[in-house]
Amino acid sequence: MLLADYILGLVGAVAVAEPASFARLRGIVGDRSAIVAVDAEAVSLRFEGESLHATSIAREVPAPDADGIGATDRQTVLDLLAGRIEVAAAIMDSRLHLRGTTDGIVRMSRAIEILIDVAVRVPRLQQIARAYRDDPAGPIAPRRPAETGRPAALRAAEIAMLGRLGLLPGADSQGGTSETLPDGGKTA
Amino acid sequence: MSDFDLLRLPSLLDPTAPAYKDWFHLNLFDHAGGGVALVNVLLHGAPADERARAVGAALLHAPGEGWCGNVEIAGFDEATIVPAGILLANVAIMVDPTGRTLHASARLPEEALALDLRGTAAARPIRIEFAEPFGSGWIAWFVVPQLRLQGQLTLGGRIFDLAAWTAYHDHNWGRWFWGEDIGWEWGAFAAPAPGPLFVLAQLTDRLHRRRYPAHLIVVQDGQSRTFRAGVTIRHEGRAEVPLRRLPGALAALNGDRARPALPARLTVEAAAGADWVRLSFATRAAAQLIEGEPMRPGYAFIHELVGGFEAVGRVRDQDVSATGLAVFEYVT
Repeated sequence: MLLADYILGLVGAVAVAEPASFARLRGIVGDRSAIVAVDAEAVSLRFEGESLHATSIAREVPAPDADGIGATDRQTVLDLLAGRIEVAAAIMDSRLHLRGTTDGIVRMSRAIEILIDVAVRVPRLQQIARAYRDDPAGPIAPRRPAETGRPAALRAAEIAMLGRLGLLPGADSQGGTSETLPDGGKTA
Repeated sequence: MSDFDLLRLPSLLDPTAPAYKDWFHLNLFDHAGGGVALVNVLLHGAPADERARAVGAALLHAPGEGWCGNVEIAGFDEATIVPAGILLANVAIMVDPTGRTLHASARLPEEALALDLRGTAAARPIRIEFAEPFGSGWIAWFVVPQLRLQGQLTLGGRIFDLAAWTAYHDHNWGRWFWGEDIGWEWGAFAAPAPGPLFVLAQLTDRLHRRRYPAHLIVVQDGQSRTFRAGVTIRHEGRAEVPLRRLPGALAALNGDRARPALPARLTVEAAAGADWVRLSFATRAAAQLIEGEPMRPGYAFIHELVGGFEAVGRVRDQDVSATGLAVFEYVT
């Protein structure tokens, strides 16, 4: 299954099972767009009316603009699902990248939180998550090195700021991973 | 008469079935190596409702290595639920039909953890069947405080013979919803055989400001003594220990719970007549099991604190002083 199919399946299941949660999610996202990338697969997401449009982005094509971009690898997703790593630690280890405007990132994270919260009460979402976890076609990416090519001074400044705010892993963490939202009933 | 208990599944006509909870709980203590293991299987929600979930957890804390193990979540239709057992694909606890032997198993290859055991009661069961008010419902309790074990636990390539470990088992059931204004403090404090075992229990509200009377049960030589009044629990310090949080998706959702205020030390005192106990517990590590309510929005956070304890006291004119390993559960 493609990443776009998983995302459409998740959001579609929310729309069917908990319309109020879907309406909340739809309101939070508004007319914003997002890009979710896992390994080499990237999907552009945007609502039109009550339908989520998920478009796979070809590797050779420049990525379109988006209000929020979440990028990670399958191993990190699996580690997050297994509780082997916290979201904040994944960000600090450069295994999860969130980019965009503050508003865009916050809303993207809220949308993901709604998906996870609804999943507790909707078996269909749990089934989709399990299918993703067990997907034999999904490549297990090698673990990335902890450091990126970002300038060390910038990284040190970020860490200092996060420390001041009590947001470093082991001090606190924030929710947020990748994707976004449905078409009014289409499920994978 | 059985040494163990049966699940208390609600009837199809039970209007309180959505709040149904049922829970087999097993703790294992490796006194030689300092390891503490937890195996739980639980059911939440009306059995006829597809949202109802069966959950299994198998966790081991080994000194110097930290936590290994994980949580498994399935629908009732994906689990095997029998009158005295809950069997999931990777974690299971079941009492055999004779009611004399409890079987538990766990297979978590990604965590390099496997467990197979048979336990028989080494002390008389304690039935606390009256339903205590709890949130919008009630909770009841059945305890087999000490078990003799056979079997083995495998961690990585190492095999541990469980015959040398001690164990505690209980069964909780009732009606409540996770996310209500409820909490509890509970602990099992086990000395190496043939030493005593202490069981602490206190229901609270979510913030642990409103506290209901605490009970302390002291088990020695197969006999138990319950302190129902005059039990005080005092917390000291804040445990600064790495926290393993499960399941991962709910940990990500509840990032604001990544640094809970958990006690570094605990002192329990109980006195009744000539009997008295003073027990001190020090936290070495903690795990947070997040319970999502499948029937309506709501979460509870079960913190499993493992560590060592020291107790002094006299019960029925016997010295119950001991040291050992413990699990202290702090639920918010």
